[in-house]
Amino acid sequence: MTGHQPDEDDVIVLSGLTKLYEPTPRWMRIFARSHLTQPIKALDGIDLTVRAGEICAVVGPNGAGKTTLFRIIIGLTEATSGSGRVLGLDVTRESEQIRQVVGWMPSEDRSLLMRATIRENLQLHGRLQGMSPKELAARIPYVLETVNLAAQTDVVIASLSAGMKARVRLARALLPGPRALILDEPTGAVDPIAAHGLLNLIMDLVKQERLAVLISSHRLEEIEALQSKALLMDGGRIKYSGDLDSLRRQWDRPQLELVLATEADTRTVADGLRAQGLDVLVDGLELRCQLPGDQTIGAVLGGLGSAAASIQHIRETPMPLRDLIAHVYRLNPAAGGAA
Amino acid sequence: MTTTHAYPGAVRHRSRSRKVVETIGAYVRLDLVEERMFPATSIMRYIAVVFPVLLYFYQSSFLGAGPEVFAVMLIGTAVTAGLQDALTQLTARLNFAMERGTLETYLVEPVPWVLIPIAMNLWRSFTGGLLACFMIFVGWLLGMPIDPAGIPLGLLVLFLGVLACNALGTLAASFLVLFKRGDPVVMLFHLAASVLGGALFPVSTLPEWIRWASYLIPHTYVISAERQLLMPVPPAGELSVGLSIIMLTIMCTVMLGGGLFIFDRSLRLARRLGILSI
Repeated sequence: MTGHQPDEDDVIVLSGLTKLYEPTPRWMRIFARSHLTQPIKALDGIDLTVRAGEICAVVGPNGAGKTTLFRIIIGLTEATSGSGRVLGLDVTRESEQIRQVVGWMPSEDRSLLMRATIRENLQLHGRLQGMSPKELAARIPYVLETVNLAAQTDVVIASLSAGMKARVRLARALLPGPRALILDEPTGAVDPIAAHGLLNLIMDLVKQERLAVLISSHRLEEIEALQSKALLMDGGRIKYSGDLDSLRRQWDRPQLELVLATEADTRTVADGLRAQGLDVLVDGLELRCQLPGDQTIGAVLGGLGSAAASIQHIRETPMPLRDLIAHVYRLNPAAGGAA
Repeated sequence: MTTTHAYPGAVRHRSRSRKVVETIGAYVRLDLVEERMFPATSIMRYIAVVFPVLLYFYQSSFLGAGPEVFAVMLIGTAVTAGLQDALTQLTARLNFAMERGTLETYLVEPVPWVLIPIAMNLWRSFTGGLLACFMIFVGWLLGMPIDPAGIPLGLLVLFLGVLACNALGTLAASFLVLFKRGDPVVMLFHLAASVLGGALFPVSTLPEWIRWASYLIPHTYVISAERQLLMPVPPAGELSVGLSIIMLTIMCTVMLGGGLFIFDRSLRLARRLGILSI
């Protein structure tokens, strides 16, 4: 990430990437009104490196800049400043070559030819990718086998389920043998079980093929399941960049639940916790409190002295990722974050 | 997994000519798949054009104008109908792709964007030309006199006209890419071309103050040359075939080159502004 020394495993390298959307020039407004009245900074100095065999989840609210980031990498828009490279190819000047080595999986099924078969969809894409008919004859069964759709090769897309259509989109992205994948909300319309299968497939591919993957999703439990690096974005800036374990280590405020035997013990322990500056919620014989970032369970229990002996059960619940991310957004307004 | 299936993961270096062939091949294949999806649509198009042929046939009979007038009107109408697809289909398809959100799918393919309008419009232009030929064939079945010796050159002129209209369609597509609406431009041109190109009469019939505009559009040259080539007794006041072919060749070269250049620039500007496919 920031300050990272380049090496041969780096696939996607973005440095200081900034995108400013400006209102269309005055002469263009004669024909069509501009949808912008003020310049909008969609990306502000994004630094990111995704290496071979690595998944990076891009997370952020709507308008965070995720789509702009993806569009710059695949050449659908240009950065205003900064640089971006994919396998050493410049994202502005060599986007045609980049589109050969980056497989893009759009979020919507509409990108598929609905009344054509899976084979016909893949053949069209393959021919535009410069694959020969012989190559396609070998690759199409292979990628369809990979995504478990071999039996549906000659089935019309419109008749497939949402999960199958998502796998066709993935197969299309994989067809030419990319080194990187960009997955824009790949599980958007897919049910949770099919989504789980799709994500497992992506994780297997990353391991087997050492693909560099950039993925965006609003389903945070999926991001957690991917055990990936995370890029938390908001307003075009990075709030956090690093792996999810580090994020937890740095920002997690686990909830501590204590169960006591008597009401008197509960009161004593609650007072002891409050004396340490913790907010305590008492519910019958149960106590709940949030651990501060710099305090361990051992330190908290140690602070209770002999009263700790009356505790019957202790449970530590990690913060849900949703709350953790919200916490990072709240407490870390400045861009940057850990690396 | 076998080694032959292993991910190649390298940039394929293709010559420009190979890219052209592969891009055109892929888009024509896409069109053929669509034709196959809706087979009745294609058949209906051919059935539909029989009716204007019948309209002009009975009109010329009613007016007692004879087969020559029928030929003048039918050749003009057939050429205008045939060139319409070359002129309008690119903007129609791009507009459909933009509204449906599928334009990005075409743009993220590793082919030069400048090839897209040619490849996307090729099949429709071909079927448009075929439609013009079919209308003239139906007219011949109804007794329209045709000089068979003029057919080969007539096909060449039609091809040049289709190419020139593709160039105009590409200019309209540039407008669409930047301003999100290309249809009004194309519609205006198409309707004006019917009058200015002399679809139902020789352009010499037009008053002089407007006639100059006729010479700026390819329809005039195609219609005039087709009448000269296909009719055993062409009407007076048509342009010479040689002049028409020269003018069409110049138009094709200048307008196609310019159209593709402007389309490429429009895409680049839209890309920079971030309004591509929005």
